[in-house]
Amino acid sequence: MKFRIQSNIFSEGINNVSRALSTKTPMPILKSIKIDLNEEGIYLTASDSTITIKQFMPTFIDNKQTIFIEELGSAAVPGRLLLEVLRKANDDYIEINMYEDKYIKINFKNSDFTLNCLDVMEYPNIDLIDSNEPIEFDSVKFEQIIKQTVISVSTHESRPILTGVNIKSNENKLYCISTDSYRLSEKIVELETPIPNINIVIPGKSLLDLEKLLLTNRGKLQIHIASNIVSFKIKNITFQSRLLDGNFPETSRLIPKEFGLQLVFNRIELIDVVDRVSLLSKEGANNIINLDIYDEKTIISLDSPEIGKVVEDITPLSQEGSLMRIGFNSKYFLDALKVLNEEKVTIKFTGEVRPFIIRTNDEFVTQLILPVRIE
Amino acid sequence: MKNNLNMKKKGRIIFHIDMNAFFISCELISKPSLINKAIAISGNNAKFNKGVIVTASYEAREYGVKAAMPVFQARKLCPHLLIIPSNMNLYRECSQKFKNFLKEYTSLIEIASIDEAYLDVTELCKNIHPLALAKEIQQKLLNIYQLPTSIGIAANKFLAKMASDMKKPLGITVLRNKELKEKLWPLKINEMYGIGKKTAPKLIDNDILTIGDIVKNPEKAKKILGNQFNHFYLNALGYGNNIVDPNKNDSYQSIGNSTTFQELITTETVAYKKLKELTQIVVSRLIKHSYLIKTISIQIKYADYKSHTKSYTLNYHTQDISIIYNNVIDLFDELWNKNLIRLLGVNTSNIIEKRDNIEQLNLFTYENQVNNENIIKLMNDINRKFGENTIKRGYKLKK
Repeated sequence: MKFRIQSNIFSEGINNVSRALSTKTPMPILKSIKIDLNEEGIYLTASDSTITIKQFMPTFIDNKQTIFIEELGSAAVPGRLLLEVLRKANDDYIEINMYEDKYIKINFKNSDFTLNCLDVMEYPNIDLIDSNEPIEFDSVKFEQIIKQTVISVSTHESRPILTGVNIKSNENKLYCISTDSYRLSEKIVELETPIPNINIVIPGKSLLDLEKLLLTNRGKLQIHIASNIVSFKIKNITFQSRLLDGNFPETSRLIPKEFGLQLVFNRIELIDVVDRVSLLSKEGANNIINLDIYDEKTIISLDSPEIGKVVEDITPLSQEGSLMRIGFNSKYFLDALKVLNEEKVTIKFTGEVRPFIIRTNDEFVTQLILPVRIE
Repeated sequence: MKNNLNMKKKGRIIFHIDMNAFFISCELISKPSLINKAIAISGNNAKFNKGVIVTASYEAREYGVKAAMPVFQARKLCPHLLIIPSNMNLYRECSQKFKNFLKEYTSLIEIASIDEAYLDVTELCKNIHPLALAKEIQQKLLNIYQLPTSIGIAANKFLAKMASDMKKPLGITVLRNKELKEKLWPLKINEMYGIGKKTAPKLIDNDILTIGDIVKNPEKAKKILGNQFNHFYLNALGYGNNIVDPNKNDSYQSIGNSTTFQELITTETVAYKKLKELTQIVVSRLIKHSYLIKTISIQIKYADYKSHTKSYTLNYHTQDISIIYNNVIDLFDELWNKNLIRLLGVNTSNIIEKRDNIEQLNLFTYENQVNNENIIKLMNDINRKFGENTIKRGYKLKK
């Protein structure tokens, strides 16, 4: 295998697939990026066995040649190292040359790297799935779905199914839900065209990786679903993830519909206040803040016997219902406030020891938080 | 003029009081006929011959009877050995008497374990010589409570602990900082407080044979002790912690229980049953002290005496037996390598008091817990109106 390629294109591709590289793995070959070169262009593959990313880079882009092929072939190149070398490359073109089936030479300007490679034949064969009826999304819209739900994904393995986001369809609506039992995020998406029934749970970690990939690759996103795999296709990139096995709990019943108290705040102002008050929360401990809701103002406070206390008040834009006091984890609250977009937020309470929800004008997004028991 | 600040700061006088063969001493109180006999306490109440030795009297120790030894082996070494089943309640009761007695002298007491305590007697010794005070405490404990002790006197806790170990039973040892070279440094490395069974052989392999070798060969010792090195190095030089913390009183870092089996465990079913018993003991102690825990760990010791542990930290505090037991079983399933099991242990840590726990409500279960919602609402309303802590629950008041 021998070719010359525009360095920014190659580097971007390697950077994209490197998100799937394994760091800890029983299969050392998965620390490599697989490069396959044929007449049409280069295929890059990386996988950690939960997710796989594959990217195709064509020889010609808009009739302009970007890859100059001297000899076809395949190689499994140490992924991290290749990525680092390319990041530091200081030439417009780089040349890749494989020899003796176990060394890869990377040349640019005055640099000459030789990296030891594993046998490409050891690289596992990873099938990419294709469905006849993919769901189509604008990638930016899907980025939002991830951002607004992934915060409530559980990081604890005690109930593995909760470490993912549940995506299910009902008529022409898509429900995206996550919960770690202490908070819940729900985003409903209206679809223009009806889709077949789906009900899957995508690992939260995979979605975080996908989110990063979508940040630099925007456009039309296709979602292909098979029995235990989901595949996202954007441009020439395929991002495939295993799905979580099991039944996601039914949560629709758990989101309250009637509220005894509703407060409207300026979202940024509220974030600022909570951020300041949370300064006194102890690392790793429950960062419990109290909301004392009076007629004219709301007092937000944190009392940590070992550190000290802080009190700050904030005036809601409007308020309706009976006054109360409630305590909850400030991290949950901040996470929820920060992923919303609108200027105003409405906090809707049902009771001192019952869940409350955070909403904006965008009624399709619900953030729910369970309080702590305070007296 | 030179202002020597260090001269002003006077050193502290710390006692370490260690009860000699404590469990045996407790038994002898009610069974005086056994005094001066070779006796041992066995861990297994049900079958004397199958348990292991928990501790042995000095007379029995002369025959080579040691803790953790199977009973049958101990009997071989010492055929006239008397075996008494252990009675933890009695020992706890005696330990409490011991603590209460010490509290008459000073409130600066740190309870280190069931049978030892540190005392800061700096103030007391303004009126009485430390040796005289130690003698008095030792005599009274022996005469009134029949509890023999050995006492170490030094400038910090580590040295006091090392000193109390130097003369047993009924010893009083003063370890002065200027005597470290002669008295402390020649001691074998495995006698250094804090150096465990696993670390000692590694140090010995690297020619760190005595406590003094840590000082003489710091580079080598550092390699083995890692980030703990400083702690041991400073202790060996006499710069130990001299703060006696009464708040450590009775508060536990961890609560656990383990059992050694004479008949090695081969099957999952038996192991589960034993783990359940151990969990029940641990949880009953948590409930008794109103403690909640967050970290659960188990220990398995195999026939070759190699010990393995594994732990799991929940994201909340609990004392719920089913949650704890399920995690114990999960840990066991992950840890067990199917070899024969000699010992099983269940341990819990990351302890807080129940009244300090903030209960995070759970989406899937909160509806079962809303029963006293009205009480909470009422209490919050009263406190908001009339000031904090106008009303609170009875269990939040300190005894």
